[in-house]
Amino acid sequence: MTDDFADRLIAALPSLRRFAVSLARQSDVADDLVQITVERALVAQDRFDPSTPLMAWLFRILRNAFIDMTRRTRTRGAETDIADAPDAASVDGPRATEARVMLDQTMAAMRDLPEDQRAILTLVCMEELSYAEAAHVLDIPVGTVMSRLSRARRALAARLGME
Amino acid sequence: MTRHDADRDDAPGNVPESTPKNVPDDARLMALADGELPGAEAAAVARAIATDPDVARRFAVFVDTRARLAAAAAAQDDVPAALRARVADMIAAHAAAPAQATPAPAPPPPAPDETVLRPVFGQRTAPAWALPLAASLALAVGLGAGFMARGPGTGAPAAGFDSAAVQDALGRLATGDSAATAAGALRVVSSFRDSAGALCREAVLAPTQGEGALAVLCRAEDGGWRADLVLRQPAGPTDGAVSAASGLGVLDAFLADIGAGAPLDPGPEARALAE
Repeated sequence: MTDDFADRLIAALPSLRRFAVSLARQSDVADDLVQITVERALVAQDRFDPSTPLMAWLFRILRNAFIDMTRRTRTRGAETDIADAPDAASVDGPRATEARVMLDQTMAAMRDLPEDQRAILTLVCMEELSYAEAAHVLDIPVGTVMSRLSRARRALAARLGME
Repeated sequence: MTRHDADRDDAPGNVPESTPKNVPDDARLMALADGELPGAEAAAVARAIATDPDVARRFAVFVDTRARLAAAAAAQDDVPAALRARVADMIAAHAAAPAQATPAPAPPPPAPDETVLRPVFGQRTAPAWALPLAASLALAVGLGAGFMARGPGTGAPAAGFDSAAVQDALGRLATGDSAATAAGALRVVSSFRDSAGALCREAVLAPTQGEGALAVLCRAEDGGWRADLVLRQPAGPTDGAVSAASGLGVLDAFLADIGAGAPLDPGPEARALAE
């Protein structure tokens, strides 16, 4: 393994975790997803084409891991929403700023959206993937990315009272 | 997708009949907000936004939602220390025993149990972690990952961690640094204190040939580094994903048992090493 690949994996962790949180909505499950993603990426790194964006490749692995996990745990009991988990918010009480409130509102509105909308919003608006890259990650046509993303943006804006 | 009607407006250029031709649809407005609209089209849409307040309002939704989410992303840049540590472990494990890019055609036979399992718990006889560890071990053994644990003075193999050069390097290397020793390349993965306050280090030793090992070593009274847990990394082709993951399960169980604290940052680590 090249150290460069390892360094890029480590640099990708915040992005991977954000995507995992948006999919799983539980921090512990999100952490597991990130771990599985890194493990699979390490095993498959020789199959990664360095001329393509690493993040899109990693996001795709993570999403597939989430799908696998969902299949396996469909019968599991009620899950704690990340909003209720102790580490999700308000850990920095004294530093609670307007930005923090905005963040909490934004993430709360995100959580209410369907999974496919959460995924596309995260990939494009948070992780700055192009429509084509997001289409690759989600295995859908670019046209579907645009229609889904447009609908998700309007739904988010409505929940945030922005329109 | 469960709602089939949801993606009916697939074609970004579709203009609903109710929308006049010179009024950009949502797809174009969004594409402009996202920097995905080609130059000429972008200029036309921008003109419409500048001249029509309704279009400007619709455009603002796409700009504002993106800005809100970008800010949320920037505020969520933290990765839990435990997750970082686990990832560092995985990377180190792969560096010590590179997995094959594709599944090996013929997986190596599992190592004989006697060489795989050497659970000698030494001073740490508390059964609290023996049970979950045993469960993890069954998994590790089944998958061919090697494991040994030992207490001080038991004479169980320490996979080269007891060599003078490795012991010396453990006392001076910072986390993330490596050193070539006669016993192989040593890389320190992390430092932390156990519940008794002893300084412990997680390290990977990769010999030029033969199997490597990942160990948790804690500083003993005599100043030496005692290998309390050694996870062997098979040198040959392995199902890296599975065996490394299960090995890490063992490591997690062990770290939980000794009350491992958070990884030390460079400053505190350097001071602890100088003690």
